[in-house]
Amino acid sequence: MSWVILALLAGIGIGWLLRRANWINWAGRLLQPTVGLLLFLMGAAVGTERELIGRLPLLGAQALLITLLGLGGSLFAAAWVYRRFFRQEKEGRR
Amino acid sequence: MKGTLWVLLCFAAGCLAGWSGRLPEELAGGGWAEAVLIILLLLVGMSIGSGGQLRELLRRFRWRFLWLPLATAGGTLLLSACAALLLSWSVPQCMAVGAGFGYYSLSSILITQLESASLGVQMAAELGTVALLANVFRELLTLFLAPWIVRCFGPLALISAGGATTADTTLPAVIRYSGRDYLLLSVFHGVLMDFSVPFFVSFLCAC
Repeated sequence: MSWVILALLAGIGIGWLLRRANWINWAGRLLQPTVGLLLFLMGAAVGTERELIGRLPLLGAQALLITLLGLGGSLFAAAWVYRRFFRQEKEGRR
Repeated sequence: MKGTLWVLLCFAAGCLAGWSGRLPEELAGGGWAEAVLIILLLLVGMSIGSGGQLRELLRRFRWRFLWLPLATAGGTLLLSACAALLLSWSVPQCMAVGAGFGYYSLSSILITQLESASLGVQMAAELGTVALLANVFRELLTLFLAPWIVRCFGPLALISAGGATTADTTLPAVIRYSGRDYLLLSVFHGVLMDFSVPFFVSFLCAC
């Protein structure tokens, strides 16, 4: 198991054990600044490579392609799940 | 929306700082990022584990709820893989980008970190940037297209489109366009997808 999963599971365990502690809500509040710091560092890695900045429009286009495909795939899959498992049951009740 | 803006601002500030060349080498090289990432994962876990949400969701759980996250993951990953036909990235790399399911912060950071061993720091940052943008786009498209999605694909499709964000940022849109009946399913879907992102991404990056 990778350290990513271990860290996540450890966090869930700690959160569960300490769920009654008042300061546990701080975990949620610390998320935003931590994410900000990490994205700053990621941006720094991108920015250091000056060529990459010029390629941002290309990367954006690649991103859009993956998004449209992935989004489309989930739309069709969800439409199928709705017809197969949810709609009939609802109509059956009526 | 405010959160998305904050994320993009931090990323842009990082780009500028890196571009100006004034940052110390080891900071931009990604060495620090791994330690902060572990802290982030611990915090994400702690907020999942300590939330009262979890117990309430388990109590009202229905087995058929599981179909929707399965459909979201399956549909997204299958078609994201097809992007590899047109792009220079490999099939697992394209799938890893899709596997953010709209959770742009965690997925982009994970991809940057996990791919830097095999791709090198710069290429990994490039793929991480694609992941950041792709998942921001997913959230924004879901919010903008919400009425159309519900009209053409039904109420569940909007939840599927929102991916990992349906327990928080896109929940109001789901309630408004899919209906209040889907609130519980939407939160359940969001929590499960949130939780699945590190699994899918770390698995796909190891491929």
